[in-house]
Amino acid sequence: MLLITTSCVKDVDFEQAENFSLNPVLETSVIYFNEPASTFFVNNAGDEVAEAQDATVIDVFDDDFVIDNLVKAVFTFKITNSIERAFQTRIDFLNPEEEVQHTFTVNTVASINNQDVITDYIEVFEGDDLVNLKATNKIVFTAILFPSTDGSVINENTIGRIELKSKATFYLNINTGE
Amino acid sequence: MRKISLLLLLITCFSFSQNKQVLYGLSQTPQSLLINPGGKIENDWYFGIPFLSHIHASVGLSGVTAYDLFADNAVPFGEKVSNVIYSLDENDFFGVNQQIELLSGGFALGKNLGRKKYISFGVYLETDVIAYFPKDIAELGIEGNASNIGRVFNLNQVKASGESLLVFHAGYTKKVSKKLNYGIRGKVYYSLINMSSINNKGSFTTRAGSDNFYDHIFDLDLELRTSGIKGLDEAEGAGALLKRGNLGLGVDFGFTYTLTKQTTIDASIQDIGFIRHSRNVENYIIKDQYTFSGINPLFPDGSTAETAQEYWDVVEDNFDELFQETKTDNSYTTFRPVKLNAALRYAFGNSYNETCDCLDNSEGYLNEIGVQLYSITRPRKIQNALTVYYYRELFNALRFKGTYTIDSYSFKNLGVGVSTQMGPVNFYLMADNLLSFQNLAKAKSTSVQLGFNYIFNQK
Repeated sequence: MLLITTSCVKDVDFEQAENFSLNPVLETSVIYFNEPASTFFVNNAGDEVAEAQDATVIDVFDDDFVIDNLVKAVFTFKITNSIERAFQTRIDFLNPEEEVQHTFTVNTVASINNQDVITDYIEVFEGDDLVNLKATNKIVFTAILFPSTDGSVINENTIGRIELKSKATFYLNINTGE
Repeated sequence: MRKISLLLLLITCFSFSQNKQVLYGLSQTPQSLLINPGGKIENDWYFGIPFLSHIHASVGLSGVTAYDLFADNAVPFGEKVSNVIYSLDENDFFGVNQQIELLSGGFALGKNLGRKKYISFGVYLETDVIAYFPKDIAELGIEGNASNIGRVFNLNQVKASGESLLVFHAGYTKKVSKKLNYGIRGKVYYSLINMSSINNKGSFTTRAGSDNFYDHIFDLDLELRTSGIKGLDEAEGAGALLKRGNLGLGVDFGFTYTLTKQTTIDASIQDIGFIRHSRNVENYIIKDQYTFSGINPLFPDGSTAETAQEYWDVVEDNFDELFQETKTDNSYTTFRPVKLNAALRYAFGNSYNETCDCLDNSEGYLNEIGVQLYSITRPRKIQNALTVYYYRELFNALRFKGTYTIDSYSFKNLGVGVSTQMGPVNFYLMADNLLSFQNLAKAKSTSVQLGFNYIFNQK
């Protein structure tokens, strides 16, 4: 067998298979919503509230496969606002100890006459940011309403909606040599 | 990875399609009767040397060679892999077939010469594997979905089967007249291991969504059926292994017809048969559909979840269920690959009997040319091969056959075979894809057959 394998196979190098990398780019939808102003910023009593928040454990980023192979992540947001108020979307990435590892905010300006205002935002995770991302397993979403310039408040009848779409792009480098 | 490359090396180098184009019609070798039970008979009786009478191995890789992947040059390996993946399509495949005859023999019935009735029998172990190239999955793997929004990645390209079985057979060959031989061979299959995943359906698609940027649509309908594997690790010893199998039945037919003194046609069909798998069956089914558009953390509609956390948990559960396999032990039936061989032969040259009085036959001609057709049913489609050949009787007992074959693997497949008779001992050796023997790394397929028989002829 050895004789055959050494005599009949030429000009090939099987060792090279040991240093082989794949670089697929994955894209996935992340969070979305599309709701009237009252859903966010009105409490049960019908009064305006300045902040809405929720959180969820997402144990994706601290997965071993992700830690080993993710080389870059990009979050893309598209927010469409038709409420005549400015607001901020803040996203916090927390580690299992509930410590904030990374934060970014997306500011959305007030709509005029309930016309759609579109805000595009991109957050890139590379280097230290990426390391921080890989330490997280929890995401907190916060929407913060800025005060109106004319003193008006949001109630059940306020016109306008907030639509948010987001996706994540994951750049992988899967190396068999490791 | 080292193990994989070594395995690739070995199968590319050591072994070789189920097409036995060199052996087919080479009637001095008794094993040619296994391809056509209605072939010509050239002996009064024979027995194969146990375990050595027929060793056949073939490996084929359509569309790609080891050299394409492992050439020792400056092109990065990842780029070679990409090039190979893009050059292949879903009809490309990898196939291995191996047969070892454990026992074989044959004898003419009756005291009269002329071999009007001939019985042949034997047992062989066959292993057959075929796997098609799942191009969509491979491309998804190297590219990801980001550059493939809207593309449907098909799962029906996932097709593979493998089996290992013992075949017990007995054949009857009848010489009706000087012009016509026909034969039939009955087979009992004893399947040791079977794995089959050929009826897969479904797809994965990422497309522009309405709620969010994308909808990710998972439509999975996958099934792997196995027999003989469940409990295999608890079976100890060859005896225990041999008690675990599943039975099947099959039949071969064939004939040889002499059109003129110099022209013959012959044809055979092998392995019209099935195996019923009911013992040690374990089947795995993944069948589910799910569309993911992301998560709505604040306002999950259509969900009973109160919080984003509950909502996310539901999403996670959906993914777990999506890929959750169901096990069954339902019996199933597989069909063996059916093989068709046919040939048109023309003999010419000096009459053999005028130059010597050695072994009979070949209708008295030294040379023969012909054309052979071979077809085999495979999971995706029928594979065909067309062979032209030249056959020559060189000395008293040395027969030579050279072939040129066009098939799924290659357009330049040259094969050669010799069969010798030294006293009662018959030895034959055949191989194809000779051009690639200079460097097997550049071969897409190779096949080797060899064996020893003890042949007896009445003068």
